[in-house]
Amino acid sequence: MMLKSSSFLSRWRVLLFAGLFLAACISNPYDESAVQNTNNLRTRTTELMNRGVEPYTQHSAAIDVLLTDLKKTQDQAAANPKNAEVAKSWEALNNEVVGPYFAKWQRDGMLNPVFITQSVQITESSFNAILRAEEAKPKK
Amino acid sequence: MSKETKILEAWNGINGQIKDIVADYIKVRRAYYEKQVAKLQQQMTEDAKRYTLLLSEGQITKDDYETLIKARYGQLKIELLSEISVSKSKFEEITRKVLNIAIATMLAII
Repeated sequence: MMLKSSSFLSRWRVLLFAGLFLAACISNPYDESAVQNTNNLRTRTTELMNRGVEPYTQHSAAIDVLLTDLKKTQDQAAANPKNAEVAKSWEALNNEVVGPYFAKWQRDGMLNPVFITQSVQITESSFNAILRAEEAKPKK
Repeated sequence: MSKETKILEAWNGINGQIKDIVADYIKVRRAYYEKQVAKLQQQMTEDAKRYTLLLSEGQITKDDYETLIKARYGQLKIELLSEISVSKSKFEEITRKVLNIAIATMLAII
């Protein structure tokens, strides 16, 4: 009976440690640098978008750097398998929101102020949604 | 009472608590998620109406309009993904809570 009881307790201990290990594996903790990076990219992106009334060629170098930084952030998010939703969000932001805006600016040379205002609203809301996801991550 | 019986009794008690916590969580999050999805769809409809009005008034071109609609769809996708991500993070908090209850109860007996 003693032997049976002791083996039962050992099993419980193993289960508890397995539970703790599992919890550690599942968690994708809050990262202050990811929040700061997102805030920084939001400011840079919307500032550049607001310059759309000026010729694209005046800002092409800054746009190239920004697009590279956005892609880098997307790749970093995708490298973490526990971060799938945020990675998909960066992909959608780059391919469906920001990318087409800058491509249109390049194609048209200059943009309509009404179009710019609406596009900036979309971009800000998209960045804010990513920030909400980053800020909701459990703090260690 | 043997230790084995004590542990089983304690575990049954924990099971009840876990069931309540998870059931509450699912109920609350489901109601919240359904409300958020409806709200996001409503906002998308309002924005699409505004873009259509701007196009009809000649304030934007057809190409501007198409670009805006596609980008707005991208925004909706990002907002829905954000809701899923927030939900997952909250679920992690719940699993931690459950785990803490289980550990505290079982260690007290062991």
